[in-house]
Amino acid sequence: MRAAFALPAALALCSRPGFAMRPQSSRPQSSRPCVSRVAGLAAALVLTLWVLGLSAAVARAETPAAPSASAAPAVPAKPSGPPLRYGGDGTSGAPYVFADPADPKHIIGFEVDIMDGIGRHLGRPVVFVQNDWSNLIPGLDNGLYEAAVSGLEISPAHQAAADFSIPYYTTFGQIVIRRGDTPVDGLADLKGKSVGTLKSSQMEYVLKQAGGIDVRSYDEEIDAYSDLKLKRIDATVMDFPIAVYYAQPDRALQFTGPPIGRIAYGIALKKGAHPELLAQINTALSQMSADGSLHAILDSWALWSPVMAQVTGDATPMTAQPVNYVRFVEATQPSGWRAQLDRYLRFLPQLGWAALMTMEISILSMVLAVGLGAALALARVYGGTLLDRLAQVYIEVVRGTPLLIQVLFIYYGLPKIGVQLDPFVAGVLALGLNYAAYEAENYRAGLLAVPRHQMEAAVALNMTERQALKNVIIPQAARMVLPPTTNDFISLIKDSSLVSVISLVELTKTYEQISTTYYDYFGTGILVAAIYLLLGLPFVRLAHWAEKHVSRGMNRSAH
Amino acid sequence: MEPIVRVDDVRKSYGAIDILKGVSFQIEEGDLVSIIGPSGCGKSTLLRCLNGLESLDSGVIDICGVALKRTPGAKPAANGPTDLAHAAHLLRKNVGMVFQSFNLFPHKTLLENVMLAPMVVKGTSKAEAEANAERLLNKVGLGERLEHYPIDLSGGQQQRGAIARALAMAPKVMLYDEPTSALDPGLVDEVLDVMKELDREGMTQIVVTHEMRFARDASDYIIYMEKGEIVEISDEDEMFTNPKDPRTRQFLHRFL
Repeated sequence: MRAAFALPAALALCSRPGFAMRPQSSRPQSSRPCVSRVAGLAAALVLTLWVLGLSAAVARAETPAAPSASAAPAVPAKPSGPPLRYGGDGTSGAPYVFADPADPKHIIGFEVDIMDGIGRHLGRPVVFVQNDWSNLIPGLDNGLYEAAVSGLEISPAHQAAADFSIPYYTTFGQIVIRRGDTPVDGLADLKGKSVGTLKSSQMEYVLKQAGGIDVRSYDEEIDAYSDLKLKRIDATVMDFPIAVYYAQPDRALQFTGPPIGRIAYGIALKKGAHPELLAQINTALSQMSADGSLHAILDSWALWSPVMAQVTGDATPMTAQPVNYVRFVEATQPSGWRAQLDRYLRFLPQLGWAALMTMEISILSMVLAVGLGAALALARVYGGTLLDRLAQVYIEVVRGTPLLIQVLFIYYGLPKIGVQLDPFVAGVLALGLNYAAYEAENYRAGLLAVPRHQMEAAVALNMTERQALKNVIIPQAARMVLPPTTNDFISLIKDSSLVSVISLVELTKTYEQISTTYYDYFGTGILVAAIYLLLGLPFVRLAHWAEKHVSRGMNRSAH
Repeated sequence: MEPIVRVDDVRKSYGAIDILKGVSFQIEEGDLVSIIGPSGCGKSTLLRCLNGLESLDSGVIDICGVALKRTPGAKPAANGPTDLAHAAHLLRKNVGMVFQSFNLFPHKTLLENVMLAPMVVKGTSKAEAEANAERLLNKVGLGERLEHYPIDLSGGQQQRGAIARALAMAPKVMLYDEPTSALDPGLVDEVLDVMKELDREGMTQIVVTHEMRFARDASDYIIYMEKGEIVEISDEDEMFTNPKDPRTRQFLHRFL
């Protein structure tokens, strides 16, 4: 069983070819062997059904991890230990961990560089695992990865949920206003104004504590800056690195006022689980700080600041050119339509893989939903009182609770009772189980729409109830439920984006990554919407054809 | 001669309403018997009991030596629902049924309608089922309509198809529940002609009907029911010319 589960996990990994690590110096294309998609799909289908039948204790897959192709000049030790998997949110924007604007297949960022450095010190290759920012710490508990980064502040709330390394970066909140507006001198000046910040961030807490400020919390930093430029808010206060990357290059915005508060980012580990690893990471960070490699990384991202100099006691001037910053600004600057078009063409392979992931999840979920839905409908109509009640309870509970909660429950909740599922399996299971409830009611209506006399006629011909259902009732009901089932499948394709909360990178997640990196909701939005439309259309056509084909005898023919 | 159908003191009620209040009669092989009576007299329920579509509360139904019985007052569990279902299944091997509303399977062609039950229930090979179905459909005059779907057939054609479908299971007794009530008047005869043809071939047939002309012309004898009881069983001519019971006379008076 353990071995069997490695397959969907591998599938899930292969579906994210974008997240190969890339060192700053050299750029080898890290290629990952991927199982045949068709074979993988079939195997995953079998497994999904198998899981449904079992749904009991399930082992966590040993996910294969590709070693990060890194030839480290500073530390000669070749990474040979077991891979260090770390979680981060590639949609949280520059300069933390984000899709490279010049080549969005790759995830880059100053935290990626720091993790690469730690990996070299530990003699372990590092592997990046995508997960939603708000689920980074639950992902640790779930064993999805050993460490998590992404601007996680070392705050009391975070420390209660996870262990933290020593800070790898210390910074502050930066006030940003529209160019030409009256400068602001500290939080006191912001009272009575509307101020944008990031949801659940330390700055949000600081702004709320200050009192008298109309705090507007955003999921994405670029939305806050966008609203600032559109005059929907008066100022923003966000972590200095965000301001450096999203406000500083923008001629419509300007920095103002003194540093706000003190923010320290640390690497999170599962609470109490890996004291040795924590110690090793702390040692590595101290060494990187002492030998100047941390300083160099931060310089290359234009993030070294007086605060860092003060905290580390490192008074040396800039040691490296801000190449990464310059590259980012160049790649994201507004450009002509031709460059824009080039950029969209560059996205296409990545979006293609994401679309494939979306379709894999949608099709497998739908197969599960149709099968289980049909079983539930039969139980309701022909199963007798007990089965009817049980099916009814299932349908009411599943239909009456949010899909998002079900997804999170199955993936992050079930491990509490010993059921640990691969993200791909959990995603398919959650969507399939949820849609089964809707399908069941569709199919029940279909079964009830077949006249009672049909069953009677079959029984009078001495068929058993089972034979009558199979040969007479279900074929007629199936014709009637084809249109609503098609409808639900189209809806499922779109709902499949919910599985991004359990670290699966499908179309919507990829859209977020690309749009936040480029600050471009318009073009990428149209592009991704078009892809969704194209994904659904063949099935709509197929359903039309099937409807025509199977409805013979249901409508008077023209002869 | 041993009767092919024996009904002895059959009772059936829905809640407080008694539908059948102790019905008994016997039918010899090859007879065509019509059951007539006002609406709600229990004649359709009786027919449905005869092939186990309805269960009895008490009494015995014996067709071709297979008996459905229930002792008065015995709980259903005494016989066990499986036993009852099994007995009904055995009984139906010899009994075919035709409904007022035809009930052909709309998703199958006429030919497939007739082929289905032998293949599913008896495991008959497709080739054999098809040959038999063609023969039967030719016999009821539908040899030109094999590939038609029910919706493209007239009511009379559908009902003849339903008769062929029932005959495909090679029953010894055929039951008809008001087989011509849903038909346009012009289509009634084509169905009745098929039944008369079967009668000539020696099929035992029990027909619940409002078609008095047919009852009189074709029946060997007629059962008149009222309020869940058999009022009179008479020779077809006698029933119409000289009914014994005043209730029969009153009922027939409306038709003649």
